[in-house]
Amino acid sequence: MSARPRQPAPAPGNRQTAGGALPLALRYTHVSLPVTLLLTLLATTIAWHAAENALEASTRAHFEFRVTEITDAIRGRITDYAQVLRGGVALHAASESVEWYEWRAYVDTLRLENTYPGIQGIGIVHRVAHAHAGAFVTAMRRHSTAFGITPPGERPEYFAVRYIEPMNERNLRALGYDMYTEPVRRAAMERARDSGEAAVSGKVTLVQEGPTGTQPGFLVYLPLYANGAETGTQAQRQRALTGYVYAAFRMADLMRGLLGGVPDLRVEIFDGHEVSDEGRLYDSARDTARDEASFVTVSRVVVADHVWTVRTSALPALMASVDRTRPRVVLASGIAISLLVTALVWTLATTRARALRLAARMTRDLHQSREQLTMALEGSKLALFDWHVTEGTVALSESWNVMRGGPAQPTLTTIDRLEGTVHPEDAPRLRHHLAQVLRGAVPYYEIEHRVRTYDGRWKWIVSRAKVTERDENGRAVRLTGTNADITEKKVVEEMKDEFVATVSHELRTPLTSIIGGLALIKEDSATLPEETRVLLDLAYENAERLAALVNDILDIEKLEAGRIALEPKALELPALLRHALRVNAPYAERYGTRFELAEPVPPVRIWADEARVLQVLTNLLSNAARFSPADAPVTVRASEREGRTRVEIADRGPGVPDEFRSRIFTRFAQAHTGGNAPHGGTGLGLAISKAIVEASGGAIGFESAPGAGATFWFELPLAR
Amino acid sequence: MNAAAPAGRTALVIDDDPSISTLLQIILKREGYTVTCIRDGREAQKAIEDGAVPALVTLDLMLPHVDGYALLELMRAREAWRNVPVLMLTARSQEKDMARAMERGASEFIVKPFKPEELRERVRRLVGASS
Repeated sequence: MSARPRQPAPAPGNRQTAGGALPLALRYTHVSLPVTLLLTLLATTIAWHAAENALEASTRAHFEFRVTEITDAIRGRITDYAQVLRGGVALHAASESVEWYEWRAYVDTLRLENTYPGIQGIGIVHRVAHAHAGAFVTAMRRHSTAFGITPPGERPEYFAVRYIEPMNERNLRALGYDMYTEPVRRAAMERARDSGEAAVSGKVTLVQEGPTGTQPGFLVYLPLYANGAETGTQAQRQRALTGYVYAAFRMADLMRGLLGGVPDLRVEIFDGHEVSDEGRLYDSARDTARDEASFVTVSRVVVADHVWTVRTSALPALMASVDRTRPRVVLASGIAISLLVTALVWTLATTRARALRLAARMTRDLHQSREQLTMALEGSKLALFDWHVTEGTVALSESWNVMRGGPAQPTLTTIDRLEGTVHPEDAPRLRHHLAQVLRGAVPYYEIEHRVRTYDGRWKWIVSRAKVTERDENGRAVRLTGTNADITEKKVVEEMKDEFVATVSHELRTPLTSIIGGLALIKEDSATLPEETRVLLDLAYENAERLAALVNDILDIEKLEAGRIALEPKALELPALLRHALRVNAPYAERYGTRFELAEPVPPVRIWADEARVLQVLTNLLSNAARFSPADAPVTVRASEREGRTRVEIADRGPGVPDEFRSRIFTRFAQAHTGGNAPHGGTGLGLAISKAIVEASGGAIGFESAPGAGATFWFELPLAR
Repeated sequence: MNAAAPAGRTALVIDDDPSISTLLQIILKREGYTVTCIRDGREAQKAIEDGAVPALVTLDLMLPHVDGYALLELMRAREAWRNVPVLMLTARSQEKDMARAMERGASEFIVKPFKPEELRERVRRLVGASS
C-alpha cells in the first residue's frame, strides 16, 4: 500500500532550517574565494621560486663552467709559454754562444703577437761575474751602442738582460737591466735556478712600462746551465747557472688575448693566495663599479711554481643574458591560473548560491502555498481527498475526520471502507457518478450525498472531484477532490423545500375549488354568451396550468430532497413504451403530430418505478410534441447496451438553442424559440425527469443541433 | 347527468373548507345525491354516532378537533358504517398519508386539485362496487 498521506502543515522549524542554510552557504562562499586565490597564488609563488631556483642553479652551473674554462685557459697558457721558453733553453744547449740575430730569428719564428699574445718579450739574462762585467758591456756595445748594466753599482755578479725580442722601443728599456737587484724577480730567478724548472715571478711592474698606461706584469724564468755541467743537485745547479731565458708579460695584454671580450664576467687575478688590492694582477672590468654580484667564485690557479688567485664575479650582463622566460611564464601563467581557478570557484560558488537561493525560494513558496492551501482548506472546512484508484487507497485530510465527529487527524483508508460510510440511498447515485467521471464521460464530478458520522448520525456533504492522473491507456489512476459539510445548508434547503411544499399544498385546496367550479360552469356553458365562454375557457386552462405547476413543484421538491421513495420493479420495456405512447397520444393530437415507436423494441425488462418512468416518458413525449412541427412525427427508439437500456425520443423541431444547452435540465429553464407562442408546460418537466432517472440509477441527456431537431434520451438499468 | 345515481341516496361531505364543500355538494347533487355537509370533526363524530348511514362519504384528512383518520376508525368500528364507501380528499400527495388512510379503511382517495370529472368517475366506481 503506497499511501499518499497528506503532509501535515510544515513545522515552523523546517522553514527556519531552510532559511538558515542559505546565509551559511553564502558565508562559506565568501570565505572560499579569498582562500582559493591565496592558495593558488601561494602555489604559483612556490612554482615560480622553484623555476627561479632552477634557473639560478643552471646559471650558476654555466658560470662555474665559465670559471673553470678561464682558469684552465690561464694554466694552459702559462704552460704553453713555459714551453716557448724551453725552446729558448734548447737553443742555448745547441750552441755555446747564441748570437743576437740567432735569438731574434728564434723569437721571430714564434710569431709571438699572433700565437702567444700577451708576451711582451722573450729575452735572455746573462750571469756576469763582477770581474767580467766590463768585457761583457764592451762586447755588448758592439751592436748596441747604448748598452749598460742598470741599475748602476758594484755587485759581485750581475744578471743583465742580454737580448730581448722583439726589439722595440719598449723592450729596449729592459736591455741591460739587472733583474737580480729587484727582490720579486730575484725570488723567481732563484727558484728557477734551484729547481731547474720554470718559475713565475710575483707581481711586478715591467721595466718596459712607460710613464703612462702602466699595467702589472710578471715574468717567467727558465734557468740556463753551462753546457756539460752537472745539474743533479741544487748546489750543482747553482754553480752551473749561466743565465735565464725569460719572458715578460703585461698582465692585461695577456689576459685580453686569453679571455677575449668577457662582458658578462669580471675576472680578477691576484698574485699569491690572497685577494688583495696590492696583489691584484688583473681586473677585467677595472672601470666598472664594484657591486654586489650574484655569483662570485674564488679559485686558485697554479701557474708553473706559482699560485694565482682568480676571483670571478658575474656581471649584470651575465644575469641579463639569462633567459628568464621560464620563471616569468611560470609566474604569469600561475597568476592567470590562480585568477581562473578563483573565477571558476566564484562561478561555482555563485551558481551554487543562486541554486540554493532558488531552492530556498521554491521551498518557501512551496511552504507558503501548502500553508495557504491548508489554511484555505481549514477556513473553508474542505476535506481534501486523494483516491489512488488502481490501489484502492484513499487519503483524506484532517477535516474529513473532523467532519465525521472524530479527532483532527488525517485518514488513510480504502475506497470500500469509505463507501461503507455513505448512506445506502445515496450509494447507487454516487457509484454511478464516480463511474462516469472515471470513464471520462464527464470531466468533473459533483454530488451531494450523506455520510455516517462516528455517532451514527447522517451528515450531508458535497463531493467534488476530477481525475488528476491517467495511465497511458487512459485509465484513471488518481482522483482528487474535496468534501464539504453541507448539512447546515441542507437543513436550510429542507426548510425552504418544506415552505415551498406547504405553500404548494395550501394552493391545492383553493385550486380545487376554482377548477371544479369552472368545470361545472363549463358543463352548462352552452347557454352562456360566446364571450363569457371564451373567458371561462381561458380561466379554466390557466387554473389547470397552475395545478400542474403546483404538482410539479411538489414533485421536484420531493425528488431532489430525496424524499420520494421509488418502488422499482421489473418492467417489460415494449409494453411500457406502448402504454406511454397510448396515454400521451392526445398530446400529439393537440399539437398536430404523432408518436411513432421504432421497431423492434428490445424485449428486455428494466428496473424502475413504473409510475415515475411513465412520468419521465410523458414529460419527454409532451415536450417533443410541443416543439415538433405539424405532421412531422416524433420517433421513439429503444436499444440495449451493457446492461442498460436507452430510450430516445427524437423530434424534428427547432432544436435546443446553444445558450440553453447547459441549463436545460434546471428548474424553470424554458427555451423561448423564436416567434412561437409560449410552449406551455411548467418548466419543471426536464428537471423532474432528470431527478427521477438519476434516482433510478440512470442517466439522461440530449443531442441537438439548432434547426435539426432534438433527441432526448435516458438510460436505465436492466432488471437482473 | 343524474341518471347514474339512484334516487334518494345520501352523501355525507366532511370538509372544513366551505368552497370545497360547496363544490362537492354541487357535483354530488348533479349525481343525484342528497348531500349533507359537515365542517367540523366533532360534528362528524356526532353524525357517525347518531345520524343516518349515508350511501357515500367524502372525507378530508385535515379537520378541526377530530381528524380524518380518527373518523375513519370510528366509521369502520360500526357495523352499519363498515361498508360505506369513503372517498378521501387530500391536499397531501405524500404516499405515507395515503397509505395510512387506506390502512384505516378508506375506499379510495383523490388528491386536490381535482377535476369534477375525476371525482365523478371515482364516486361512480365506488358506489357501483359497494352496491
